[in-house]
Amino acid sequence: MRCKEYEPLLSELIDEALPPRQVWEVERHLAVCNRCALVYNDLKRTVATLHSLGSSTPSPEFTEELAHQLQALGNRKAPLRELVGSYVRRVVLTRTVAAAVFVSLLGMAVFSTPRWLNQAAPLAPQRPPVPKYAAMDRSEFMALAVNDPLQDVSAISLESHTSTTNHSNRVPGVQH
Amino acid sequence: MIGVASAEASLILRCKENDEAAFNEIVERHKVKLYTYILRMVGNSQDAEDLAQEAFVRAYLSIKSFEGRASLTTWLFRIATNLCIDRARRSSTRQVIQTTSLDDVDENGTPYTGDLPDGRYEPQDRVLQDELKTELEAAISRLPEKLRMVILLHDLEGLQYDEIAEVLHCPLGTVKSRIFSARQALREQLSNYLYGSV
Repeated sequence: MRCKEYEPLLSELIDEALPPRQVWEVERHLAVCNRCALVYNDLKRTVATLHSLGSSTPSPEFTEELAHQLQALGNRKAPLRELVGSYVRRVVLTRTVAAAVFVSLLGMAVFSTPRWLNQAAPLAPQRPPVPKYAAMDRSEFMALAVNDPLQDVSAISLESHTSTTNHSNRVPGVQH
Repeated sequence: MIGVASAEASLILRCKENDEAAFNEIVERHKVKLYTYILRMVGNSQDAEDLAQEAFVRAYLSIKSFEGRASLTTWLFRIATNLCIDRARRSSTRQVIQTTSLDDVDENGTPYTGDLPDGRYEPQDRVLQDELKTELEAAISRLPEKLRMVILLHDLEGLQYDEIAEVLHCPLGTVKSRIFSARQALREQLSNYLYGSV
């Protein structure tokens, strides 16, 4: 290695940041190279002086002014970023919930109703209405009609009923 | 060291729970370091105070997102460094940075010394040493910004190579080479005060 290659290592040697093998190499070079030894000593003194430079103290008002600034921040309800964040969170949350409810309802509407109910149900064969008195013979009919408070017996046409008495053996509710 | 780290972690935890006293303690612990660093970066005490306060305000606002991957010191220096970079970008022309002179006085009227007495030298050596420090402060202010940052963080604030890499978001090798370049530049500028400058 030449001197130019050793120079960057001198800085790390001062910081004790070199691995042992490189320390050994650099120190061996310094022992035989006066120029690098002088550079090393100058760098060491520069660094020592840097380390001895003192600190500066901010003015006594520094902490008080900072406290005022922090207090002003605390008095605000929330920093702008938090406000924006909470607004976005709120909007996103509301819309997500609304969308979820909508999709659920839609799903229930589509999938919970049997398909056969969505189609027009085939009509059961319509049975012709069986007249209440159709299966009765005349005497039964008259007995019932007399006891029926809603039935005006006088309004019953005997002739119209006669036409139905032909089916005297009929069983009510059974179509013949 | 572990005790310091756990005390720091406890402070951060308290800050995350909106404990203002904990944040005030962080300010008290770090304000001198942060202010000194910023002052040497910007060269103006009023701007340095403003930037240091802004750094703490930013830290206060984002402490809840601090994950603790870096130390609190590294994190604060990163905030401060970003503010200094922003400020440098904002200023259209780079101003000549004034450094603290030995003729300056503090608020009590005491001349600025800024350092502890060094008993290793004889009186004439001490005068020379003081001159060297003054020259060194001036030389630091003349360094390019990138070199000034690394030398301040490493040799004055005591950050390690990897911590500086984290602060500046650059590779470790870059940090090492910048530290060497900065020291070389300072050595050359201080050649009159050093023993064997070549």
